[in-house]
Amino acid sequence: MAAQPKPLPVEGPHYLEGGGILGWLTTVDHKRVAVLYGVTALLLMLVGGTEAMLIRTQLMRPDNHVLTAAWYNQIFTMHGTTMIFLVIMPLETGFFANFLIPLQIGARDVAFPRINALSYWLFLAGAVFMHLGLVTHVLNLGTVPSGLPNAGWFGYANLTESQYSPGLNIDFWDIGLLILGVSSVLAALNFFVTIVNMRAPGMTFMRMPMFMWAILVTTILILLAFPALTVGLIFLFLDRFFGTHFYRVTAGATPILWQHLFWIFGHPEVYIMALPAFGMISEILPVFSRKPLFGYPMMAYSLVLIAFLSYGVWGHHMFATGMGPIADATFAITSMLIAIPTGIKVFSWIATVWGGRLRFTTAMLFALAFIIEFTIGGLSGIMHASAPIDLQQTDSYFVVAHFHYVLGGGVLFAILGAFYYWCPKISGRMLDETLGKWQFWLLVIGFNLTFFPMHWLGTWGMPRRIYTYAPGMGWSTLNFVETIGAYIQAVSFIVFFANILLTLRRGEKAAADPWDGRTLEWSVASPPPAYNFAVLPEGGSRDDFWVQKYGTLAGAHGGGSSAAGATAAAHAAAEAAEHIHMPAPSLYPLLFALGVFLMGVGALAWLRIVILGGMVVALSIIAMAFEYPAHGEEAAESEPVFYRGVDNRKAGMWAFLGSECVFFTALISTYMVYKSRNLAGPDAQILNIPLTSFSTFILLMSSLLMVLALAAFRRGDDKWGRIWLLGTAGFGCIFLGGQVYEFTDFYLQGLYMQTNIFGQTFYTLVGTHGFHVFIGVCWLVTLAIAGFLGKIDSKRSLAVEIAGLYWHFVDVVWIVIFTLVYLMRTVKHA
Amino acid sequence: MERYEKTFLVLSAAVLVAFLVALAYATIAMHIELPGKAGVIPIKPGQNVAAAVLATAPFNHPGVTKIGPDQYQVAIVAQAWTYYPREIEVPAGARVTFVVTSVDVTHGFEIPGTRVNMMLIPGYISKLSYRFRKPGNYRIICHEYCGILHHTMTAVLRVK
Repeated sequence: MAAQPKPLPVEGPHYLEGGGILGWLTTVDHKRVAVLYGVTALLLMLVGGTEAMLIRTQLMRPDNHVLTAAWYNQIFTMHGTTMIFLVIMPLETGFFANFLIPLQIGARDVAFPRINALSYWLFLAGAVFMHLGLVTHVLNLGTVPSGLPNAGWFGYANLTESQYSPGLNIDFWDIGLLILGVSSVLAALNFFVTIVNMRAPGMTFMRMPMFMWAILVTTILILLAFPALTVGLIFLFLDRFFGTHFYRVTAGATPILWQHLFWIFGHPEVYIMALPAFGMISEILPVFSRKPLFGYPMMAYSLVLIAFLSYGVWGHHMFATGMGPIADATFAITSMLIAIPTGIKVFSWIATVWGGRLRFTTAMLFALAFIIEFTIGGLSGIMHASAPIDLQQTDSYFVVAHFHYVLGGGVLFAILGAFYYWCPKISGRMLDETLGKWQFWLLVIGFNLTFFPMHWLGTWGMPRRIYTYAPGMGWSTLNFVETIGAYIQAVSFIVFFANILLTLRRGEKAAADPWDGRTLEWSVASPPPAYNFAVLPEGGSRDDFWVQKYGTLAGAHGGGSSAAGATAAAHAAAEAAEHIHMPAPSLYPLLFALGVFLMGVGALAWLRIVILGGMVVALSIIAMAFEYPAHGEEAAESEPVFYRGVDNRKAGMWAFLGSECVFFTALISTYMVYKSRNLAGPDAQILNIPLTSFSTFILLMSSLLMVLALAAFRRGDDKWGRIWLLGTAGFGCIFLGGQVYEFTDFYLQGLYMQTNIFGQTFYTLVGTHGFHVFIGVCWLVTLAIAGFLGKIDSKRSLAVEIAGLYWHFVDVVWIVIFTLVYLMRTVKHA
Repeated sequence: MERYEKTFLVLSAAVLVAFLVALAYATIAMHIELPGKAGVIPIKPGQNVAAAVLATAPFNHPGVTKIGPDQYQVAIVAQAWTYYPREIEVPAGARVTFVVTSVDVTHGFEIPGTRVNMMLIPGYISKLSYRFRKPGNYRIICHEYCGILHHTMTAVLRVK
């Protein structure tokens, strides 16, 4: 390790310089994409914060009418949606993680830079789409008055059905969330592959900064949680646009389905927001205590344990629906268990600070306050685990107090701490510490004044989401106090935004390592050069930069880095920098997102716009594919970048397929649950087993051809490779033909998607699978054509291998569907 | 293993056991019952939910029924944005069983100051029993957001 030249700051242009507006629109630099995320999310934080102020002003006095009830409902819905999807998630994952992942693991960029840009533009498209209601409201568009979404951020069915919510409000929410979901899954996939595959050679998992651990686990949560929400939103879309009955009571369906799908996503979502905050705190506390993080292995394992358990606790949101004693008891116990790994973290943070030489910077103050506020929120969370107590608190202000302590006093405090801690690295300037401390104390006072009394109000029975309340309920005084607290918080945030603006104008210039940091991002200049590291670091120990500086993990008494070697190293670095190839900018991610946005608008307004949007998306994909014609070769020629084991694209495909598993599981589960609830009309008896058995056989045989194709390409037999590829695609087509025949046959027998709940679940499940086969066929044909053009040889058989992974996955899913839907069609479920 | 570690492990286990004991005590000794699905509303194909509810006992006769010595059943139908009946009278100290359902969207049923707290899901019947010992006026509040006039959805329960 000592032999490696020290990656010291290099003089030269940093990532923010140059490029102009077009440079920002076409950027694929993870740092610039992060800044785009950060600026957008901060603006949306202003929106969400203003909404909060309006809510508190309305609730200041009983029988108040500052807002109309219609506006109040839109505003509380958008406050929740905005803060969760448009502020906290993009700030943590899109901004901080995006900026810091390559810098902390010693890489030049993320695994898929263009997908990273695409994630951002899709995020922006989704955020704008959510707010289109303002446009329809002002211009009075549509057949019925429409405004912002107004069914709560949880959007409980069946209030969201068109019968009860006729305007476009819910459509903006539904489609907007679908777009944001795609954005989140793409970002998660990207970051997952980056962390797993691109860490510096010496950086094993147990040497990663704890923030990287938190982000790694968060990306897995996003990949495995969002598909459940996507399925729920697709059902809602079908209900609203195609007259199906997924959440309608009339056809034997039940609105509870939404609650399950939503909370299977929704509870992991809590940890998607909380874990990055845990990671940030685990970075800030050691630096300002001048001690290594206490209990590193336990901190890492507890993150994994929290993530694992978070999938088994969704029922505690549903105690009041009457799930029955067994489900209640199960969810009560899992919800208590999850407190254990969280408790481990709290104690380890305290132990990290214990006996340290503390520096009370603003970042440190926020981190310390985080521990206290988050623990208060965690304690009221444990109360919710007890079903009888939770029942008292369901939908009361107690719950509002609880999750604001978790997400506000917890997560938001961590994010603000992270701003003070990493802003010097990101902007090159120090945030003002005096203003920072003003902001901190105002926020601590305002926050607790606002949210602590909510515990009492909730216990006294004040329900959530009410526009106003009667004077005699005994709630008036505390509500007034809370509103005062909210205004104090508003002042605190004005100080924060003023601080940011002043800093960017004339803040003190930041040194490369202003806090005496421990991790690799502090080893490069502030702001970092576009290529991050002139010489990629070795990353051979935990807190690598600290060890480079002081020689040991714990010691803080070393003489600092030797200045003697610095100049030589800088020269070597500058020389190396000339040979660095960074990914070229691309306009297509922006165009892609624009196409998606158009498709969303078209779905609500004019079908032809959907087609136009679809064409823009398709052309962007094709253009992206041809942007770097010799992608593989160029990467091989340029300066070697370190990859662990598998190729990034293959790792990305595995991550994507993991996400797909949850997607299909949600669809199949819905089919199974609804199968026995069918009221009238055709049911599973209609299925034609002999025909489907034949097409199943064909599909399975196609997997065999796929294996032959890959083997042929690998041994350099291009001719047979192409033949087997076309054979696979042909078998896929036969399967699709069988499905078209089957669907037509059912259609003629009077089974439509709207006919009954068998029809809707069958067509959605089998049709979605058919769509996957169709995509696969297109992919294989493209590969075969590339083969005929001589673009695929044994060196590039990877392209075939990745398509093969997808194809085999789709086949395996079909085996499950064929067994559960077709072969077990007569099996009744209770 | 160090002594401190052992202490912490024992303490964590003890806390968890204490939670479970409290949970068991609440459900068994204090008779805190959780709402359960007391039944479903039979809906014929093509029939709307409101019609189905009004054709199902006891919702064909909403209101208070004496079902035994010191035992009353209160059948209530929730609809956006009211309860039917909106005013209910029960004697103090009697065991009151609420049988409630919704005819349109998901509603809530909460009586502040008591443990009466249920979610009303259309198509399902929610059931919960409670003994009001203190006479007075209680307010039934919908606490599941149900649309624009959600905040006006209340009913009065008089305990005499």
